[in-house]
Amino acid sequence: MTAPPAAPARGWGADDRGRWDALFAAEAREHAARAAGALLDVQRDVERGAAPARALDAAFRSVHTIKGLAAAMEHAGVAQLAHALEDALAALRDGASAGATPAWGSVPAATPALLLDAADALHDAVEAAIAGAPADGARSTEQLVARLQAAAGDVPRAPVATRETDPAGEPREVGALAGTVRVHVRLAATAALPAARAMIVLRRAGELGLVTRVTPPAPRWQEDGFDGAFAFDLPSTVERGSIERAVRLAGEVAEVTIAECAPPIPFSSGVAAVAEPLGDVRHGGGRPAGRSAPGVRLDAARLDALLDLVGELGVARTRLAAAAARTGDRALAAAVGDVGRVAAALQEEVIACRLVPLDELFARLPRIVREAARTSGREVALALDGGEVAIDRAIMDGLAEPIGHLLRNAVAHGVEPAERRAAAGKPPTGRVAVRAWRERDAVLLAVADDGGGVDREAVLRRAAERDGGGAGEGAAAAPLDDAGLLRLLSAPGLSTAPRVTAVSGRGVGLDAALAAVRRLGGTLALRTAPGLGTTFTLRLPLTLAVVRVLVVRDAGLTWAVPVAQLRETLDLAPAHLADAAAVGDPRAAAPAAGEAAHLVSRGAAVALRSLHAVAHASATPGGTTGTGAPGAGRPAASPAAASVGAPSPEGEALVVESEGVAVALRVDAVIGEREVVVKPLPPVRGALRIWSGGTILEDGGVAPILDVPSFLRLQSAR
Amino acid sequence: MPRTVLICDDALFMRTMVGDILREAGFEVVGEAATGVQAVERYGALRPDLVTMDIVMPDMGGIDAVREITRLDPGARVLMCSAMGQQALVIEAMAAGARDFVVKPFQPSRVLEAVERILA
Repeated sequence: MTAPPAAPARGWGADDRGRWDALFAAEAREHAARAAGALLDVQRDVERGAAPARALDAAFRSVHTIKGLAAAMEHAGVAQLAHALEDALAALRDGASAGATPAWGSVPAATPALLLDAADALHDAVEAAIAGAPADGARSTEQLVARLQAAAGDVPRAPVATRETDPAGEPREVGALAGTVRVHVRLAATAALPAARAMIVLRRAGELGLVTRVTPPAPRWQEDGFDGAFAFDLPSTVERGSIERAVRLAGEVAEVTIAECAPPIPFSSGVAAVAEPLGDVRHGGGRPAGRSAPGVRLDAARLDALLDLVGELGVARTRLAAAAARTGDRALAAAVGDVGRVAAALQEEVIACRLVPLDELFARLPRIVREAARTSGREVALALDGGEVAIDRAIMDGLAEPIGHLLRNAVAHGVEPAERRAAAGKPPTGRVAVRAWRERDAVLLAVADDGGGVDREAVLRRAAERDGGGAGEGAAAAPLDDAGLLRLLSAPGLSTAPRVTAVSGRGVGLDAALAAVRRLGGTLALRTAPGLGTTFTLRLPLTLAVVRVLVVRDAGLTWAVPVAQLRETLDLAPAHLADAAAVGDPRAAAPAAGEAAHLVSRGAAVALRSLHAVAHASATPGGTTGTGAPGAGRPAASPAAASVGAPSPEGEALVVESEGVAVALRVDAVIGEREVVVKPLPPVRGALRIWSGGTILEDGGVAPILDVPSFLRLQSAR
Repeated sequence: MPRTVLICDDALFMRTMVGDILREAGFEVVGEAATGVQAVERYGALRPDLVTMDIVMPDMGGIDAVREITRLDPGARVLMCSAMGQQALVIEAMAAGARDFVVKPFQPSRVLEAVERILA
C-alpha cells in the first residue's frame, strides 16, 4: 500500500486567508442572491398554484453551495442556517417534484414567506461573515432554524424519497459457505459517512472474491444505530494478507480481524443485499432539466488584460491598414479588413464576458421594499421585469446604492398611506416596479411607483425659501418641467432638508443617488404626474470598459470626447456665433476669457470654451507617462507642439451636453470617431477630475477621455 | 509525468481549494468543470488520471456525471466531494462507479489519502 505523502500542515497564511476570504465573499454573495431570487420564484409559483420544483431546486443548489463554502471557512452561523434552509428546501422539493399538488396544498401558506425570511437571514449572516463580525442574533437564527425544521417536518414526503422500499434489507440468518473466512471490520470513530465508507470496504473485498453474509445488512447501515462495525464472509482461498490490505485500502478502517468460519450453511448472497437497495436509492438532487450552464468564472483582472490586448490589436490593425493603403496592395488590404472584423468580434465577446444579468441586483430588491414598507407602514407590491438584461459587473455593483435609494423613496414617500389611496379611489396596495431594458449600447432602468407624484408647489416653495425669495418667484412664474424639478430635487441643499421631505415627500438622498449614477457614467431622468405616480429612469452605459469617442486635436495635443454626450459639431463660421463682437476671433481669445464667447446650437446660445484652456485649468493629464500598457507612455504630442494657444484656421466646436446643460468646446481639428478601450489614468493631484480615463492611439500616444458630466458641473460651478 | 486531474464543482471556491491541495501534492490540474455536462465532456477530451466530482451541480448532477464517465471509461477514477448529510447520495455515487469520497470541509490530508487510495 502506498503511504500517502505527508501533507503539509495547512494553516491559513495571511495571504491565503485573504484570498479565500475574497473568494468566499464573491461566491457566497452571488449564491445568496440567487437563492433569494429562486425563493421569490417559489413564492410566485405557490401563489399561482404551480408546483415550484424547479425554483426549489435552484434555491437548494445555491443554499447548498453556501453551506459548503461556510463550512470550509468555518463560518458556523452561516453553515448552520444554510443547513436548516437546505433541509427545508429538500423536504419541500421532494414534495413538489412528486408532482403532488396535494403536497403543496398541505404546506402552510406561511412557508414561502418563511423561506424568504430565511434567505434574508442567510444574506445577513453571509454579510456578517464577510465583514468579520461574529454571527449576531444567534437566538433569532435558532428560532428561524427551528421554524424551518418545523416547516420541513410538516411536508409530506413523497414516496420516491423513501429508501425503505427494499425488502432485501431484512437480516437473513444464513450460514457461511464451505471454506470461508469471516472478516470483522471496525471503521475509525472519525470516519465520515460510515455507511458509504463501509460500502467501499465491501467493494474492495468483493474484488478478491464473493462477499457473503454481511451483518448488519447494508441497508441498515444508514440507520442511526450503525457504529461502523460490520462483518462479512470471503472464500478462504483468498490470502489473509491481501484481505487486510484491500480492506484497509478502503480507508478509515480502524481494525480488521479475520477468523475461520462456523460450519457451512446454504448460500445467500450478501452482495445482493448490498447492491439491490442501491439501485432503489433515489434523490431529487442535482438533476434539474434544461438549465443553462453558469460557465467558468474569470478573474476580472484577466478580462481587463484581455480587453487591453484587444485594444492594442485594434491599434495594430489601424497601423497595418495605413501601411496597406500606402503600398496599395489589395490582397493585404483585404486581409487587414478580415483582421478588423475578427478584432471587432473579439472585442464584443470580451465585453460580453464582463456582463452579468441584473437578476443578481434584482434579487436584493424585494428585501429593500419589504423593509421600507415595514418601517413606513405602507402596503406595497413590487414588480420586477428585465432581470435578464446584462450589464458590466462594475456598473451593477455600483447600482445597488442608487436603486436602493430610489426604491426606498418610492415606497416611503411615493406610495401614499392606505387611507389617502382609498380616498383617491386607488387600491390599498401601492405598486412599485423596477424594469430594465436595453437600448442599443445603453441599459435603462426605471423605478416607478403609482403614488401621488411629486408636489411641485412644495418643491418650488422650498427652493424659493432656500434661495431667498426672488429666485423662487421667478421659478414659480415659469412652469417647471420634470427636468427642472429633478434639478431642484437633487440640489443638495434642498434634498436633505427634512421639511421638504415631509411636505413633498421626495428627495431624500436623491443627490447621493444622482452622484452615484453619474459616477457610473449614467444619467437620471424624472417623470411625475399628480395622483398617478413617479418614475425615475436611469440610463447607463453597457460597460465602462469601451467607449465611442470623437478623437480631436487641439493645441497640438490629442483628446477624446465621448460620442454619447456629443450633441453636434459645428465649424466656427460666423453664422453660428451668437455674439460675433464678443467672440472676436475665438482662436486668439485668451483661454481664461472663454466666458465671453457663445455659439448658437439648436436655437440656443451655448458658452464656447477652448478645450486646451479647460484642460490646463484642470491640470491636464495629457503629458501623463507610464500609464497603461507598454508603449503607452508617450505623450500624444511633442512639447513644442503643445504650446498653449497655437492658432489654427480650421477650428471646430464640439457641443457637449449632459442633463440638459450644454457647452461648446473649440478644437483645432476633428480627427475621427473611434471605439476605444478605456484605461484608467492616475489620479491628478489637487485638480478636479474631468477625465474619465485615457486611451491609446494608433501612434502609441495616450489621449485623455473627457468626462463630460464632470466637466459641465465644473463649468456651471464657476 | 505529473498525474493529471479534472476538478468538477460548481463553486469556484471549491475548485480552487481542491486544485490547490492537489497541485501541492504534485498533480497537474488539466481541467475544471462547473456542471455535470461539462465534466463528462471534459473527461472524454482529457482522460485525466483522477476526477474530483461535486455531487450537487447544475445541468447534470455529479452522480449522473459519474455514471456517464464510467460508461465512457470503466477504469475512470472518480473521487466524490460530498457534504455531511449526503450519505445516501454518496452511496448512490459509489454504486454509479465512484471510487471514494471525501467530506467537506476538506482536510488536505484526507483528500490526499483518498486520492492515494484511489490511485493505488
